[in-house]
Amino acid sequence: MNNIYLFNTGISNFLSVEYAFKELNYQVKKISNFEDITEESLLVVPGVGHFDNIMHKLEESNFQNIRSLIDGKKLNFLGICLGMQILFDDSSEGNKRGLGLLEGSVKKLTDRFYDDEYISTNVGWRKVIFEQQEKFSQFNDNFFYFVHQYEAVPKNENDIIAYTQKFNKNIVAAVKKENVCGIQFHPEKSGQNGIKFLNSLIKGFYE
Amino acid sequence: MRIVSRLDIKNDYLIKGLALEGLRKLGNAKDFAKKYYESGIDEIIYIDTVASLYSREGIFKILMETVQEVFVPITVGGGIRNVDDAYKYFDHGADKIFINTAAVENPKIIDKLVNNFGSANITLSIETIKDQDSEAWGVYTSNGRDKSNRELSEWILEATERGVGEIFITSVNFDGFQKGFDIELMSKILSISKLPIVLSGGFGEIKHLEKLSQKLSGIAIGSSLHYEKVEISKIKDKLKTMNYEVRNE
Repeated sequence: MNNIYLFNTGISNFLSVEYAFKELNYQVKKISNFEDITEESLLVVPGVGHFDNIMHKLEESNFQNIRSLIDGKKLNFLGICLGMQILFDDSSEGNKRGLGLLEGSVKKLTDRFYDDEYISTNVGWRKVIFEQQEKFSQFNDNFFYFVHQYEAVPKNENDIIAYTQKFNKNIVAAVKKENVCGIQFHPEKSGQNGIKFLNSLIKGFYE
Repeated sequence: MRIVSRLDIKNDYLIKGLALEGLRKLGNAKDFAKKYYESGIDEIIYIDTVASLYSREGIFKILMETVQEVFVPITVGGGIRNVDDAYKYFDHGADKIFINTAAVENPKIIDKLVNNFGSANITLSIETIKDQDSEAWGVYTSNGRDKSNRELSEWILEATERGVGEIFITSVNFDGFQKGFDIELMSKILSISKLPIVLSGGFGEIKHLEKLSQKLSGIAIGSSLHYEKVEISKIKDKLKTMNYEVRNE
């Protein structure tokens, strides 16, 4: 691995993510545009905010410069929370197109959770199930911190590596396809176990 | 169920009093937050009690020190007047922000915050007192000092419509007394709102957990943690026996 780039969207819990990497003794390079990105690196996009805002920020920061690196699998991508949601084609939160690195959409939780099963904000610590994921088996059934109102609906079930459950329905917790990975929950805010998970995730890109 | 530690802050210090009147300085806020983190707290809420009156430098400093060592969500508020104030809290390490006074005075600020930061990261803080004569629940601002002309149900419906993601509600007259939660308020708010609710004010001992509803998203605890009356692990053990889903590490 060459570098870990942490993209500052200008509206995120950027510091929390930065310190989580520091806790693991990784040196991160904070960037606010996509110039001078070296190959064989990891790009981390944390996210708090609004879908259109973060997409606008990516466009403004010349994300198109590195698109071919990601498509060519020369750059690993890790998106957290909203950073995961933008991997998909579109979101009902906004009007802008997503990155389309994974096929599927992002939809409001209330589309599936209403009446007696109402969930507007899925907030709190939830058990995450990693199904048939050898790399993450030690984290199966552990609690991680979620806070979101929209959920990923991937077109290909194979892209889902973890989920959590409410009212016996699955909510996507993590997606991965080759060099692209997205996490709906916040490993940087999920205690020491979350930090450990983050480490496994980073190592997982390079095994 | 989330166990949230509530830290009321004045300048650099953790303070705690009764009915939101902060009387005593207890020590460095970050040290308390770190201790709670190491004992398994699920979330921290920092409430800057003087930001709306003076500057925010104190809370920014505490926040930046805390996020280096505390890896659970930190919700921060106090004195947020506009989108720019909220940006500054996020810049200094907040994971979520809450808003009270400014929203009560000018609800449109909620729409603006939601458009910038997304609903899930905007918490509405409510300070409420039941009027003994009219039996109406009044909405208060500025740490329970000022009564607004709003009524609880209407206010929650309006704020929900405008997009707040969750509600942090404090029973002002129960705050700090450690005599148990305001169960009447809990029932009232759960009947009004389907948003995630964190109930604050009054927790003092383990048996106070017995009257809680499964529908709560969390409880906030101040004094009884600050004065070491209860342990976080004991709270979680009790909640587990009551079949709550409680995080353990």
